[in-house]
Amino acid sequence: MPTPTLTQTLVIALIQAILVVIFIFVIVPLTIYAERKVLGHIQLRLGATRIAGTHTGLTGLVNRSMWKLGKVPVLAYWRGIPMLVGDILKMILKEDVRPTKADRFVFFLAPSLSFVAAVMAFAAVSFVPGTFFTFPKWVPLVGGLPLSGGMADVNVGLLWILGIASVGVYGIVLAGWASNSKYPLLGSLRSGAQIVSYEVPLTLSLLAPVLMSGSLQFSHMATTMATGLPFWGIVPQMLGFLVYFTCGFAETNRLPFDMPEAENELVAGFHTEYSGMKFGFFYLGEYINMAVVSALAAGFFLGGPWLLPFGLQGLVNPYLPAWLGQPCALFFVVKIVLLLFVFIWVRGTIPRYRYDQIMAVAWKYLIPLALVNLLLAAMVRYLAV
Amino acid sequence: MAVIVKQVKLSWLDRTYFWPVFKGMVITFGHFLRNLFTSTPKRYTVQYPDMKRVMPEGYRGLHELKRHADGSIKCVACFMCAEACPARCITIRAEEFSDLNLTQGFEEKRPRVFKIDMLRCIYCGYCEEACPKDAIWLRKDYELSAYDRLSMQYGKWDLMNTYAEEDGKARITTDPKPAVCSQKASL
Repeated sequence: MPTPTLTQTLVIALIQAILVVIFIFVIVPLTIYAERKVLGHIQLRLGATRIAGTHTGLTGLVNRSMWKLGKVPVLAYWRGIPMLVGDILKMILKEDVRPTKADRFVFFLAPSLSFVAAVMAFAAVSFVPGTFFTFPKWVPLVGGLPLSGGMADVNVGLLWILGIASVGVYGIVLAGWASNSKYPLLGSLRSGAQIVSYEVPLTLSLLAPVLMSGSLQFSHMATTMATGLPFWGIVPQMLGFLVYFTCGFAETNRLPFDMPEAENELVAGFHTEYSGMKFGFFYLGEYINMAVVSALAAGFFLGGPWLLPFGLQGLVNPYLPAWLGQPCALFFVVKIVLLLFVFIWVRGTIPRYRYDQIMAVAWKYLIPLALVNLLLAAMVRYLAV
Repeated sequence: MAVIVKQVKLSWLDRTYFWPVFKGMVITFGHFLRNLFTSTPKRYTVQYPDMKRVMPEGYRGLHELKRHADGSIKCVACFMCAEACPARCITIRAEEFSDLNLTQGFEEKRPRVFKIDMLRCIYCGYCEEACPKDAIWLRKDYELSAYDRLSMQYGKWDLMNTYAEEDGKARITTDPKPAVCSQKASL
């Protein structure tokens, strides 16, 4: 394998970055769409079945002319799939209102901060250990060179992810502060307290995979947790997985813990004063954060890019096609999607907790549980690995 | 008056909080699957402009003024419905109608104006009860809306033609001329 020159390295890194961004921007609208539909079906509704303005506006123009031609306008009726574009268009086209007394710079900084922090966490996530694919020979400049499965699969990957994830809090707190309004401030304060509290059990529960794999590198941890143990990490780490996932909900401000938004108490929480694409960045950031949390859970607890638990793979390997035993980025993505479904599912099930209950759950139950889980992981490490 | 709130004693399993959440998740997932695999007509949601709810028997919707086989109105302008109407939404102006024929059963009056103000009507069905000639029926059309108040004043012809297509009748806008010669002469 030839050693890549600096230009080639840069180009490959750029391609990787673009691929990850494409992944994010494909999965986020799909999650938003899935949220509408899944939540609808959970509540015995249908979710979005068409986009608004089937008779008025731009789509209405198309639809009415189609009716005049004697054709049923199916486009607007495709089970609300045009919603994927409609959501984004709505965000971009809406008026962007800025309160007069708001701090102009910080007001602009906050949504970009929470969005950028969410995207940057993906840098250290490795979709497949080693090579994702090799460029064919005919590709100019980078032909024959491998593209690794992660953008920056550094050996402090987990630290990077956790650090960047906590930068996301600044987005929320600054948004509340810069809005110069009561409800956003209250929402962001509550959110800050909540996220800081839940970071403790979150980190403690992620310490167990670190302990069991003896590494902080994402791909190495995923490999060890998937194949170094008799089973996937979720079997000895059931408790850890539950604690981690619960904290993940709190970190991403999802429904059982959506303190910062709490519509019935705080109007809309920290993004009350935001509109247009600035609000859209908060929205996107929340969904990208969900994807990050799901990616970590899939990587450490659900066997990452491996399809089967390693024990099972060893057992039935001769009878299975060879690719089932190989790590594949697609399996990883499927696991992320399943966990995103769980996010929506939980949102459709559990109502919001009271604020003191949330704090009590974090400090009185989750942190001791995470510590017990750490002890368990140490025992597994001592006995099994 | 004090109300004693019953304290429910939770079992240890319920107090773990995990088990009730798990049960709830199972229930919602059941809902999800059930709704997903139900065919569209059996779902609770009616896709309104494309599908319409079939109203039950005895539903009281928009009124219809009934007509005889030859198209003449059954109403004899007796004002019973207007008297019975609690919302006072029926306006009738009668006219003399002496060109009698067989189907009309020798009536002498018919409404020149029969107007129902749909903004006032409460769809109680008293007019239907009061009518001695069975000339006014409340049927199942519930899509009553308009952009202005004047459009909600339903006149005689509106009320007679409401269900014309549905019943396979022709829309009419004038009182038909008597087909058979008056029986008064032979009597």
